[in-house]
Amino acid sequence: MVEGREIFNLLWLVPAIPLFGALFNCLLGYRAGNLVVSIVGCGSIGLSFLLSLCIFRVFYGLPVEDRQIELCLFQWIVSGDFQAPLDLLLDPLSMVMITMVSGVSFLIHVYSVGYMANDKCFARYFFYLNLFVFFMLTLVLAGNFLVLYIGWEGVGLCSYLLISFWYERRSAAAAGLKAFVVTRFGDFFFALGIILIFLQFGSLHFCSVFANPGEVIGVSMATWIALLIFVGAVGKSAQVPLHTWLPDAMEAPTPVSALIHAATMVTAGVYLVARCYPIFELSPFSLQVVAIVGLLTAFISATVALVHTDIKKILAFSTISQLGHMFLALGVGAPGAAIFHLLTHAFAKALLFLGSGAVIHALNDEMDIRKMGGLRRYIPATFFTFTIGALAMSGVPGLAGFFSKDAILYATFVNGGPLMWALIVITASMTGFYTFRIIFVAFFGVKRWDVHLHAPGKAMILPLVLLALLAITGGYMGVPHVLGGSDRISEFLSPVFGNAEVHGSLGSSVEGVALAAEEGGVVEGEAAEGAPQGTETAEGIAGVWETGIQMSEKSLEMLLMLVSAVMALGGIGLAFYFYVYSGGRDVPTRLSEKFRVAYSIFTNGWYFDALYKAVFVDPYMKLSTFFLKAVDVAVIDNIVRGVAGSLLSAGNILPGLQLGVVRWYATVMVLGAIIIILYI
Amino acid sequence: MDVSSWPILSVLILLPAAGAVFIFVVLQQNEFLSKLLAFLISVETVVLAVFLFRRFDPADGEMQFVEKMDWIPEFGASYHVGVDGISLFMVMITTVMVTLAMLSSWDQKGRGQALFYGFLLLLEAGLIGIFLAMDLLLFYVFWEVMLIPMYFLIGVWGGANRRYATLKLIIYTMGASLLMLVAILALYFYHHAQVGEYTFDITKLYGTPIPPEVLLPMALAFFVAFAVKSPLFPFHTWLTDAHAEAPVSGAVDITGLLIKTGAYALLRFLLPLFPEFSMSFAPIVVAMALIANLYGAMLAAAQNDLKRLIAYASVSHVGLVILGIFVFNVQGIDGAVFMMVSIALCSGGLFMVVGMIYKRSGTKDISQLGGLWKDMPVLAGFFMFFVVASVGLPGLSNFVGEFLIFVGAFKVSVLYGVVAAFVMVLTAVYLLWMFWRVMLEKAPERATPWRDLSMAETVTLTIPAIIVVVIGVYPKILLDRIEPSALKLLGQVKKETAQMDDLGRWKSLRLVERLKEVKRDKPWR
Amino acid sequence: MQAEVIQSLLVVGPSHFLVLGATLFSLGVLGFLVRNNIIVLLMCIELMINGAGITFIAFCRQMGSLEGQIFVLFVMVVAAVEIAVGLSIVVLVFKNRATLNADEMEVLKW
Repeated sequence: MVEGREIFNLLWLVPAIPLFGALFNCLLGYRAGNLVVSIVGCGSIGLSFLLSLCIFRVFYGLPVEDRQIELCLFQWIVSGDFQAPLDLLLDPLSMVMITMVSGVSFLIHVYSVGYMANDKCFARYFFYLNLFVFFMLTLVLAGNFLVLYIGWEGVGLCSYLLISFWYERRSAAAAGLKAFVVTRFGDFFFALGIILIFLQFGSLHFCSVFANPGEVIGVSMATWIALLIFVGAVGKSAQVPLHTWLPDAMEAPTPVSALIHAATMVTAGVYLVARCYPIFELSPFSLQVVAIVGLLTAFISATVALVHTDIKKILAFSTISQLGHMFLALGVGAPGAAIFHLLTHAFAKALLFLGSGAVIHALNDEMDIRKMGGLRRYIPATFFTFTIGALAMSGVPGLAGFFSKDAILYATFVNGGPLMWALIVITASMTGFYTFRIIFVAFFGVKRWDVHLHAPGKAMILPLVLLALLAITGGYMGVPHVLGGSDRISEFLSPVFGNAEVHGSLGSSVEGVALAAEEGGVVEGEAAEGAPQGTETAEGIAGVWETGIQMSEKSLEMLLMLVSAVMALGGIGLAFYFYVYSGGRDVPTRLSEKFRVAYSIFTNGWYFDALYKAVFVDPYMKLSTFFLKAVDVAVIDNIVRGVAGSLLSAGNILPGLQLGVVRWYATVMVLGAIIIILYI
Repeated sequence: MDVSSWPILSVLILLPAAGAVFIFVVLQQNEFLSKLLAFLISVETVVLAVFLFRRFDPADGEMQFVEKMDWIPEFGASYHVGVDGISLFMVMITTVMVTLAMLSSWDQKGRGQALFYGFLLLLEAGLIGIFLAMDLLLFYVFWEVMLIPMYFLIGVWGGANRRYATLKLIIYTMGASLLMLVAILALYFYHHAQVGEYTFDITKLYGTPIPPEVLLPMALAFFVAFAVKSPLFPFHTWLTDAHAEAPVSGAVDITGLLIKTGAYALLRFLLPLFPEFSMSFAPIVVAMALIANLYGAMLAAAQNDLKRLIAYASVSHVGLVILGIFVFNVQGIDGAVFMMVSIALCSGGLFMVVGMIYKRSGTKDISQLGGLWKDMPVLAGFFMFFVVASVGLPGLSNFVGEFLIFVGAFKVSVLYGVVAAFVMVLTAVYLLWMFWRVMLEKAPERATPWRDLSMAETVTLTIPAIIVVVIGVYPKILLDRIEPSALKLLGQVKKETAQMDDLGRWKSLRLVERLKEVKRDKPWR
Repeated sequence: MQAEVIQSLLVVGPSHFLVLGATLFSLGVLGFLVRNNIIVLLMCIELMINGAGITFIAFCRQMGSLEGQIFVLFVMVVAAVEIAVGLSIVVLVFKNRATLNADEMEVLKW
């Protein structure tokens, strides 16, 4: 084994091993049989994971200022002053990411062996999955924007391929196309952003771009670049308004949803913004946009998740909502919290998806939670792990999600103001509500299904258990100082983000509190109509406002933590009241009837799909057909044919002189000769 | 014997030509032998091209391997050929694509297969001649020679509506090139009037001072000839018909090669011969290119015929290439040349796949296809690969060209860059939608499943696929050699323009005055 | 005066030959235009050729060069060949269409 710094020369192997696995599965997997395919598929990711762990060990031993390793493989695109080598960058951020990506991928690969065991296209599945991991690792290890873009587009492609994996389903084909095109729309802006960066900085290299961006570009240019990059991130990370592809992407096999559409690919946008944080920092406006988009997304998609009945779609909207949390964290100046939440969310959401996969698998591809019920007695292991995931997800104290979410809420309160904080706290309680709604509806109550149950095998249970462990313990890498922890993750990441961490700008926010409290109260009241648990919130908030001003920073943090924990538990309790407690059984129905407008808005996903169809898809198809029929054929081609036709008809006049009579020709010749002679 | 003393360029032109003649005259009756001979010759040209590539000096932007001898000394026409970084790859890709065309039509049935192969060789000779010619008259001869095999390839072995398509192709392109012939002669005589020497040699014709009142019609004639061949919007309608009716391998050649000649000729002849015109006319050309770019992409989405769809995709891509040429910076031209190579491979690959589908299904109508993946996973895999490459996935070849063109366009104007880059969304829409309609969903009931690719077909598709990956991952092998030539070309264009500007000779051209206001190649900051 | 004119007419010079050539040619043209029979047309062509030949000879004699005579030899050979081909075509046409009327042979139009 290579020791010391030399191990960093093997960095390229981290993405390369999955690539070899993918190539093997692509070229030979068809003949090799399922066993070999799964060994190669899981083995390559496992090796990659082990390698990243070894690298992590050495990396962690380095002094803080040395924790930035660059590895240039070869010159890629070179043209004039445009240079993009294929280089990798290992810094704390990418270190965390590759460990998480390869680790979670490995578990999901193992799970897939069980989940996909009976599928005809086993090799193809693992080919795509390995290829995806290759691109994802390239994305996070990239040392310049163009290499990042390779991974960025590559994961999009794999996502497309895997969404359309069961290609015989029309909906799968449609969802794949939608996912690719919508994210591609975001990528278009991202590509423009990359070009703009090149034109401004003369380089695409992360280290030179982020070294001192403030000296090269002004605020307005930074805003432009940041916003272009952010639109790319919005597309990839399914934020409002480009989020519509993610729920449809649930057509993919469930492990894929867990890996790509929950744990890794969709978080690439968060990673990107975190990576480009030095540019975002230059432009307060762009950070505000990030925060607002994140907040809106978190809120909107949480409302949709409240009412959905498809287990995977609930989780999909939940993913969108949690990604919104991460963007909010980025926007309010807490990139460390965002990455922390990214990690804990990856564990918890992968766990939830895999658990739901086990349920779906058990019930023969049933996804409607109304047709489940009472499952906890039949698949207890799944139930148990799923519940852990749900607890971690909703932010119940002690589990992973709690710490990261709390960090976000705190940063929001300090930098974003109480209004944002209030909204995100409501969202947090909705999170508790909808995750436990799944549990209470699907795992409790009476049995509403009658199929032969396939209990999940060992290959499926093992990853669930491991992920559950991670979901429990994952939060302890970032226990905040107030709770006596040392917040290792922020410390570890701090070289990347510099001084971007929350530096308690309490003073500024205190000034706004009095005003904001009133506004907050009003908005809370409105929001409460949409979310039934609003009353509790309003009380909670009122309490905070009054006391918050006199609080010292530390006790404020404690209080906020308490509030969010109470809110999360409140959401869970409400779900219990609605779906388990016999007295509250008919409350959901009554509520949906009472707030019919809100209900239909929520169930239809705020009508984004319908809007896009009416505004973009249909007009585009009509326009292309119009151009084809009315412009290309009717105008342009007709002009061409008109020219040719007029020449032809002109040509039809002359043959009239051609009688075929020899003496007529002779006469004409003689006449011609006479004319020429006369002319001379 | 010292290999380096061979007149390698002449061998490259003459070998296929001689092969074609031999097949026409001697081997016509023996189908197998003539196929074999043709194939061997085309492989031999590939080897020669690779040899040329290895001996090519990447640092030198000038013409290399120059051969020059008198042809018609009385007229000042000479046999003058040479290769630089731009034409090198055109020649290489031509040899490769012709070989692939032969492979892909190996089991084509029907009369006169020997002639088919003979014409393919003749086409190859004509194309290589175009790319190597340094003499305007010689160039014109090859330019027209190429049409003859095209005429027969489409007219004899084409689809149902082939007569119309051939006639349109020939008359359209020939009409445009006649305009060019007139312009060539005009240039020839003006050169004599100014310098006192009759010559067709472009190295001598570069920088000929031409009175502004004749410059415009002259340059326009050249431009139209090249634009028709490219084809640039709105001169593109022949292409869709020719594509739709072409035999599979013929179609490979049209997409890959025929249309590349137009863009190549713009680079080699229009830009250095009429630098002032090119610069001042650039905004209009760029507008046409951008329209072609988006328009082609939009129309492709509305197509129901597979081959027409890909033809419109070519229109769209060619728009990008021409945009790259007319932004006059090194990224643009690098990207344009790279893109030409890449389009040949990607569109060629798509066409071959479509041909293989057609061979099994007998239809190119998308609405009658669907669900092909189930029966033919390997074919579907290749189809996906070429679709993805055309969409511009980084790591594959199209991306490099596209991205460089975007960068080049952005440098000149934000508007150009944004409009051009938007095509990446539209491309994804029409190509993936096509893939969906052809490959995905459930297949209609069929008596017997269509068989998947044979070994030979797999090999045929693997070759371009490998090249696409190699030059996508390591584009430096191309870019290193293109760049010196591109820089030299740019130097020529800009130097000439500067000189002309100082002389103040161009005042009468309104466009030129506009040009001076548009400061080119200034990074947008 | 008159005697001089007569003298010049009597002394055979180039002009006599030229006039003869022109006359023969004109006869040929006239015949070609007015007659119908295709064999007569061929004969008229011969007349024209010979008229041209005489003119050649006349000029070459006057200029004292030999090119004209060589030309005439060529012309005669060509004329002989032409008649051979022409007559055989006429025979074939007659076999096919049973007519020698030139105006009825009008299918060769475009």
